[in-house]
Amino acid sequence: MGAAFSDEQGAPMIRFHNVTKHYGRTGMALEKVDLAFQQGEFAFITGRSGAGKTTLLKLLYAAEHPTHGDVLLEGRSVARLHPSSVPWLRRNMGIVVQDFRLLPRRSIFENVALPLEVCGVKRGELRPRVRQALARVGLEGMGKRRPGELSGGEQQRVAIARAIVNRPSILLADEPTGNLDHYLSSDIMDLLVGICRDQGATVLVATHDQDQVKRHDFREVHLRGGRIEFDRRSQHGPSGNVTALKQPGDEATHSSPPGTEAGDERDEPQGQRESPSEAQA
Amino acid sequence: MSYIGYSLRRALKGMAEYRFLAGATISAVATVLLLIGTFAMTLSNLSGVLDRWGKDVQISCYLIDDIEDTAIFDLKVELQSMGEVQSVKYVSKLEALEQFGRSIDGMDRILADLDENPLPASLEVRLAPNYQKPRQVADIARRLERPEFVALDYSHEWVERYHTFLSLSRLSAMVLGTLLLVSAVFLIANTIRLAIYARRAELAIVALVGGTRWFARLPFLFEGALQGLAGAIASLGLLHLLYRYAFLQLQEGLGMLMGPDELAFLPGHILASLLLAGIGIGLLGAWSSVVRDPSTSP
Repeated sequence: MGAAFSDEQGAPMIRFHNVTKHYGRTGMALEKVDLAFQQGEFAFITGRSGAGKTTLLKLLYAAEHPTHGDVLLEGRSVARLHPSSVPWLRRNMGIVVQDFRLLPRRSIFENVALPLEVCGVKRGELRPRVRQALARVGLEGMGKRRPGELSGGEQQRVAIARAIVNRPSILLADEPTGNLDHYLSSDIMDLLVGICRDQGATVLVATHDQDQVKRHDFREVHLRGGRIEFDRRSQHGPSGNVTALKQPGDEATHSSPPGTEAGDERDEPQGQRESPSEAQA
Repeated sequence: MSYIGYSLRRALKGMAEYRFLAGATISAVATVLLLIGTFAMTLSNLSGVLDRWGKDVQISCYLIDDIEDTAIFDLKVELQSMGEVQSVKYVSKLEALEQFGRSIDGMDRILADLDENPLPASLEVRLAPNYQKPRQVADIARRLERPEFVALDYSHEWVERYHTFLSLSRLSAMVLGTLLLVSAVFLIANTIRLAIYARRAELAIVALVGGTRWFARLPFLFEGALQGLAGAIASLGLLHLLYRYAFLQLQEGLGMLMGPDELAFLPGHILASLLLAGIGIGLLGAWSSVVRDPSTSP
């Protein structure tokens, strides 16, 4: 329904147009994927390991290129972007990954400041922006510490602070709670939802943590074997736009006991779902 | 400017983090430049010795036996009028005999037994300062040739041999120096390659947050240049020690041969060249590594 959806909502922020990605001759990561995401939308990309979630995000920040089809960001092709333009694409994105990717020898402040230094932001302007980002993730006053001195949840907060310090319009999170327990995972997910709501950023979260998906009533694109198995819209609005929803940290719409096996394929998806053929239309 | 400041800070921090690696490279560059500097200092002093010996070069024009005094006077005036000539001195047959007698112990007694003085009279031509190089001396000697002279002697053989020796030494030093410089470039390239490898994860993060390839490369280029510069400065310090404690000691031993002038340290332009060479090989080594490494090409 991507095309129909974009017609209703205006031009989508992100569009996957008939995207196929092969690794080598036989490794099929994605097949004929059609998807569209609006500005300010929050969506989960779910599926088992190897379903193509990470590839989907990598295509967006040009770490991979589609074998067929095109990925459009604000109407411009990411796939056809010249390699020298890729850094400029990424400066408008925040990227969070499972293993945090922090620089262990640098302080928390320096880690969060890196995207600003990359953009050549002057030190006078850099300090307040880093402090603001650290405050946003609840780590004010911890700038002088090293990543090794923090817990896993705090390290992921640092990674999120680094991802939002540039005030990106898109935030991509690849298994951001993969290394965290249920309670920390909920904190991190609430933080991402809050960022989507406060900054109006488009947030795509690849996860196999069904507990977190059930806690929030957002759009869920479920992948299986590189194909879209279903694309379930939020019950709160056609776009799953967070601004239409309640505050993060409120009682989750779908509750699920902690410890539900991650990556479980559900026989009967909950909420409003589309058939694969609809999702790819 | 903030890129440059950032890169410089990262380069210094990188060297501090991997100080053993940086120390090894700086020592290697210092050794190479010390060797080249020693060659340069030796050759520049040997060249100085040649210049000093050149000042003593004079051309002896031996006169035919039955020449009249007026003809000698005319010749002397003619030679003195030449621009290349500083002074002309007449040495009579008798003076020549006396000088020869004094030159070797006991020779005067042998000469006294001779019935006839076999030595010719001569005009000793001293050349102007700008015309004392071996090749110029040979040219001028050809132009001095006159029917009144039986022979011209300017001790050209040893001067030319010395000059050839010096030219060959310069060539060998240049070949050896080039090989040493190339090996230093490889050394720096390998150090930077190891530094890039050690910071692979960091470079991946830089690429993830939108760092350009220049943002990733610049710290490594600075690191190479700084290591080269540090090596060059160390080599100049060691060269100065070598000059004070070896060259000057050597001069005391070879005082007679070297003449009264003190052996000189390297001239300013050579010192500057060594510093630039250090920075140059550092940059070249670093560049060859960063352009080949995919992690610095996000």
